[in-house]
Amino acid sequence: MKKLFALLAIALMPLTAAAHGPSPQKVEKSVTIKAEPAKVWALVKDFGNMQKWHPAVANTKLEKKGDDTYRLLTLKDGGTIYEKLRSADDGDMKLKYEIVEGSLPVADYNSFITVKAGPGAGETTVTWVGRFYRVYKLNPPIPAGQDDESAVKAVTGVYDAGLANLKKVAEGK
Amino acid sequence: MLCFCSFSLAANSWAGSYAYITNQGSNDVSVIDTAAHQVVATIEVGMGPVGVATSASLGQVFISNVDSQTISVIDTGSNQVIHEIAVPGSPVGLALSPDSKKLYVADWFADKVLVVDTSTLSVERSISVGKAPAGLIVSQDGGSLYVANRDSDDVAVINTSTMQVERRIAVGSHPFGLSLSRDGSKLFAVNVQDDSVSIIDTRTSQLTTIKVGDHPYCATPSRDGKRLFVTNTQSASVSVIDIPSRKVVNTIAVGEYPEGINYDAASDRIFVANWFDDTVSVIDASNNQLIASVKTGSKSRAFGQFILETAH
Repeated sequence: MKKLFALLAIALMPLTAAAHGPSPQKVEKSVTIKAEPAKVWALVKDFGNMQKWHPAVANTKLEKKGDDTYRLLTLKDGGTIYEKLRSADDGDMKLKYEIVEGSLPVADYNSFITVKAGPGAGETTVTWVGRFYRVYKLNPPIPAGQDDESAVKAVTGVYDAGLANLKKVAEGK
Repeated sequence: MLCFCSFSLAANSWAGSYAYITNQGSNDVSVIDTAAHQVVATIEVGMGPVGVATSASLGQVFISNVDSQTISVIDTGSNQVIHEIAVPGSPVGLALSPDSKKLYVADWFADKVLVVDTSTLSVERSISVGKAPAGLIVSQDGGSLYVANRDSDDVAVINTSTMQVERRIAVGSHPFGLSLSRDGSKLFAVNVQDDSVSIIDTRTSQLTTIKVGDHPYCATPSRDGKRLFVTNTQSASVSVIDIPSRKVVNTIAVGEYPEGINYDAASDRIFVANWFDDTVSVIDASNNQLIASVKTGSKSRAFGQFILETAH
């Protein structure tokens, strides 16, 4: 059923690429990792190798278009997500990217990940933030799977699984 | 002129003003005393409140609740909702005519502007505009209603006596917020997707475009019309444009994903709703310094004219 919704979302996206939903949604998730910030940042900023730390990603294909950098994520469930790198700031240890198109039931998705030292010595806090809209872009009634709740649930799942595994990988477990 | 100025100064010392901040996530409105920087009331409204229009003469504030498809009418004396108007679409942008007799409502998905009679609270007509109408603003003489058509990349100018679209002015990519200079000579359209603001001469429709920060949303001019303050949602900042030279002269860090922004003449301060942080940033307009952060409800948007000036 979940897959069906995901497929439905892909099928609908080209038709509805105009106005986004009226109310933006957000997800913010954090994890504390027992590793040095530089080590964690090296994993996060490596835009072309997300499969190294995200358990849902099977492989990552990096693409350059002029000055712009994109990646095509192929997911283990067969879905794909095409993303654009907005910035990777070594000073602030902040990565910004957006989804161009893909199988997540979201629209106009933009995100940033920050890596900060602390709270304890030798620890790092990673925060993943997303702002996006639901897929459905017309007046109600809103079809199941294209509403705000589905969008938030999908992004929450991606962040929770990703941060948990990033912790594992960075801590070398 | 001197007489007029001293009169308004005197009036200001008597006046209080309040910011009505829509909180999309908590389905309420935070009322901030703009002098004390404190929330003095929290008013439950409909679902997903976004747009605001305030009327000192009616003693009312109108709130668009996009997810419940209603407009809440707040009585500013009691700070309570006294009416709920059902609208047939997804209301986002709101604006009042200067005499407060008409409330204009942008229906985001139906590509229409609805006209509500504020005495009967009924939708009396609808006007077809461009795609995804967002920000609305009415000229000071009430004669023109400007509509930012987000997905048509233009601003529609509606003649309010005929209620017809008189012209459409091409702006940047995806205009969202609109603002006017106090004298009405300049219209500001904030173009979300190409990170710019269009400054439009309202007589000639000629425009200049200025680059600002990442994904800007809304703008507000200072009282003297010399500076324009613009929220940049994805760079968590406010750009300050010097209007005569058409240049960005300052960038002020605020909260994450700032959206609505208004200039408060009574305090000479700028109020910015930070959607992600659930706060309102207060900027001293005289020196561009961030002077306070006020905790609000969840996902503050404050889209439109959200400052209510009250004379006592």
